[in-house]
Amino acid sequence: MIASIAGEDLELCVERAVYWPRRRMLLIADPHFGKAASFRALGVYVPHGTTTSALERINTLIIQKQPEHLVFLGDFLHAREGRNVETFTDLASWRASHAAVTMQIVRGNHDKRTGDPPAYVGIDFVDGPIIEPPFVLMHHPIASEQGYVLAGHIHPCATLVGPAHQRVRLPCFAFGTQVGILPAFGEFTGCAEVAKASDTHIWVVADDHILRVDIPR
Amino acid sequence: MNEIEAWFASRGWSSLAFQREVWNEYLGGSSGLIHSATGTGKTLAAWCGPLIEFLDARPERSETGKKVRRSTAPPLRVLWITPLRALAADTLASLSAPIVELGIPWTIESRTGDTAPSQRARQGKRLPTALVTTPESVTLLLTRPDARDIFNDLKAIVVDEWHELMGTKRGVQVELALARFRTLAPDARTWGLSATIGNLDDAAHALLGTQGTARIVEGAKSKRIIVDSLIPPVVERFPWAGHLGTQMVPQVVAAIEEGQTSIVFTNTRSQTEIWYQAILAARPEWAGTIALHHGSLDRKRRDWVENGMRSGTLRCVVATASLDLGVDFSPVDRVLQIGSPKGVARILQRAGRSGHRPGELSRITCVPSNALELLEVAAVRDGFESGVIEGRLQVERPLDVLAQHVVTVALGGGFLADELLREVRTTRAYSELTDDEWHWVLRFVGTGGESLGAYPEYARLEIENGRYVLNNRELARRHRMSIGTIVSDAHIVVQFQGGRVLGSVEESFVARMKAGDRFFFAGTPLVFIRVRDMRAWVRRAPNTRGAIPRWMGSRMPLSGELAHLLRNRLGEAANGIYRGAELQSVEQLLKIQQKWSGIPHPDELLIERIKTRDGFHLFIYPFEGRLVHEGLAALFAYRLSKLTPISFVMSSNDWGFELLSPTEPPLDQALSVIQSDATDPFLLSPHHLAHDIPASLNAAEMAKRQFREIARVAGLVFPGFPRSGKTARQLQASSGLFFDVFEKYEPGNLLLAQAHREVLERQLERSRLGRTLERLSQSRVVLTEPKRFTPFSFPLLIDRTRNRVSSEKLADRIKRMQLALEKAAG
Repeated sequence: MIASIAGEDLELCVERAVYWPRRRMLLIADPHFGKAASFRALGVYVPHGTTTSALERINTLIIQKQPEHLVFLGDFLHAREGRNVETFTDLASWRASHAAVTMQIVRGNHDKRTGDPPAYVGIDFVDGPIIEPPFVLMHHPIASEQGYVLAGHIHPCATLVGPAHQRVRLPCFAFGTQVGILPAFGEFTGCAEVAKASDTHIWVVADDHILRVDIPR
Repeated sequence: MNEIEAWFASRGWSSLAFQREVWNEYLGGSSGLIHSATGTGKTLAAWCGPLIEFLDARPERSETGKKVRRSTAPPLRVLWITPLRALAADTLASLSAPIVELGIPWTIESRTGDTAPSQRARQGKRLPTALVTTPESVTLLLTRPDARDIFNDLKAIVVDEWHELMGTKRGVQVELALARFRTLAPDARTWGLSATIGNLDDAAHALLGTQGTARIVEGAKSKRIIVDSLIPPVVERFPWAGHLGTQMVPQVVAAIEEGQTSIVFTNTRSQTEIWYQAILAARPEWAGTIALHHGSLDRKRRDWVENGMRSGTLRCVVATASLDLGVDFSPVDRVLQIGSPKGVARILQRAGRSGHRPGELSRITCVPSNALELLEVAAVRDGFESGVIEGRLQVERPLDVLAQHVVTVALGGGFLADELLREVRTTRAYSELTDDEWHWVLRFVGTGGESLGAYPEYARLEIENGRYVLNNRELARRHRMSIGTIVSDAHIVVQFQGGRVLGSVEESFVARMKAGDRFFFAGTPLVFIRVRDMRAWVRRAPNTRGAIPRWMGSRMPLSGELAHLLRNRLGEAANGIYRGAELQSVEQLLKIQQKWSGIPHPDELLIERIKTRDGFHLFIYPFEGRLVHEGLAALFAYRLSKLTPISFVMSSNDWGFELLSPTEPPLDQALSVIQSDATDPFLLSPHHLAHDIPASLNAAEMAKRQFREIARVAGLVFPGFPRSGKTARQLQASSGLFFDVFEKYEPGNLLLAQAHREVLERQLERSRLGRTLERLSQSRVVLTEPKRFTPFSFPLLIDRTRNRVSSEKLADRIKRMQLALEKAAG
């Protein structure tokens, strides 16, 4: 699904990521790596597999789109308790397998408390924003004078209603006039109902489809 | 024993034969179960045995009236477990009387969630001789590091209102605690007090475990009971559902005026708030003499209400099940029941709240909240006249409760795995626990999940001298706080800005509120300000418009016995027979039903098919109670959706259920025999249930909802981190997320399996579901196409639950949809 945003074509992907073909750049928001591990460290049982599965989804995207750059829009790691060697080793070997792709993390609120991943993981991090005209890549969806903001943080989702009292809630992309918000990439994350303004365009992720939904007048 | 008899005489009483029987059994070393109607002397039957035992062994006594010192009183001898903390104060008072008057040098205290910290600290140093407490507080005692020592002198454990506890997870929690006491205090005897229920043997078995034999002592016969109803002057064509039935207020007020003190029972906490407001609006001059009582209210308010009832200064109390049990309010001479009676046993219990003295007459007056409920009242009377009474369903080995218990024991001195397994298997709930399940629970609480040792960061239990112990203080604190969350959703305290605490409401209700919203709580109109520090801050609202909080957990279904009686009554009506005042008053309504659609005979299944602007409605009436209908709705929706891609929204009540779809469902096809190996209609077939039921439950996400409770009990979701704030929030995830992650990454997780089993066994009453399908598949289907909604369908139309089933591709489904423009998180 191609969306035209700030004069650029952006590809909205069902894996809950955005690909920008002109700059060959893949954007991913809020993966929250190590969230399951931080629960386990605090004595709450969660099975393994969420990190590996998230990395596999990124692999799929990289194989399909062949990006040159990958930018994480914040909340790369979930919590300090989730910092463990196993997660970092997985991340490092995954990173090494895509040596040709540059990777950057814009720090999010979770990252600031959790700390950056160790250097051997091999991903650069910045406080942001990253300016990639016409876009400003950052974590918090706050309008910027420097360009159109692409951000995460909110974990947006939208509720749809239909005839005969049908109702469904789905993760979504929400593009306003100055700010666009990506859905959270991490699976083990909640979501928040997105604000619906008449100048916002919403695309929902419905299993293996991206569908544009209109705001009723 | 003579002293006790003398004490009875001093009060002008004499002991009853069944009381003496219990004392002798107790003194002879037996455990058992006492059943009788309320207000017939069960409490003293259980209490005096331990007193006689003490007096016989230690004849010297202190002076009567002299204060007994904690340090010299005997250590803990009697543990009295009561299901409601509201009962603790009252029980404490009645147990204290003989102690004080006979000069027995015992201390007796209560310990519940309401106990003040200073009292708790004293009890932490030394427990009283007799302790009145709740299941949660008993479990907390078992987490104490000295748990293996403090029960050395325990002689008796009394479980009050056992019929209320059994068949619930709290009951299973008690079963596990009793098994612990059988190990820690082998001499202690266990006695249960129960109202008369349909399966007393099961109740005794659950109480005393699988090893011992149980004495079952029958107390006084039940009192004379009158069940009548307030019949509305004009029975309108349509049931009044949606208007909450407050049209009956004038008659209710008149009934209250007839009596000295009345209890008005409702089925839900929201209804208590509504009726309290309605009665007050009709009789403003009663302000101060009427009150409301439910489990969410603050302790101080509940105490005030209960004292007012005892002293007779209150004219009327509007209440939920929180006043169902044991408290002795002698002045109460009138009981009213608003809404469906739901079951025979429940009505008998509530009726017993009036005339709370042996020999007095009990009367309960049912107030229908919709016209058709008058039929249920007639059916209840049929039931108790013919001696029908419901049993309690049992809970089979819930692994979440066991996981909690294992951590409890690890904290309370630790355990050897084999010993604890043997002990746990002596309970009825876990007598069939398999070795695999046990090891799974051990790994879950200790080292986590399927593959032992794979998660080094997740290791909670340690092994010391071969015993499993839990030393992590943070985990210990969290575990102690999680105990007691078994029954309820996360709660938030409601408090006036800078002042008084009113009680607590479910978090889900508060989550929907925004600043300035109005609601009623504890009979007071309030304005919501904000949530901070796990508290909802409010101020008083200037007038009385506002929402009523909706509480979960009180969705009791019609009992199977009552459903059967109801179908017979309807069958009579189908033949034009209208017996009794209730039936005569709804005759016109039923005749409209018959004319527009039909009234089913007991061997018929009525289905109404109506098309409106909303979509295609199917109304199906098995008359089996709401839980069975929820299961049937999911099953029927699933089976219909196998024939064609279609999406359904379902709603159910005690009489039937509705399936609503945007496209036409293939009903005619589904009602025919379409499978080559089958002999009955595809839709109604009792075959292939082993496959179809789990599939339909998954489709309707019912297991996911059941998982909420399991996740909480097993300690996955921790409701109240006291130091909230950002760090705490990073460690919270909803049970729905856990469910999804488990499903995907560890489908063998036994808590998931338990969620499915619980939906089937408890929520949907699987055995009833199977029996219902056997019946329906033999029934003649009466399919009508009424031009408009019928008296039967109207309440279903209004009362819509949220279950959904779809076999359409999500993308196809949402092409017909648009964005919901309601407020966030709606």
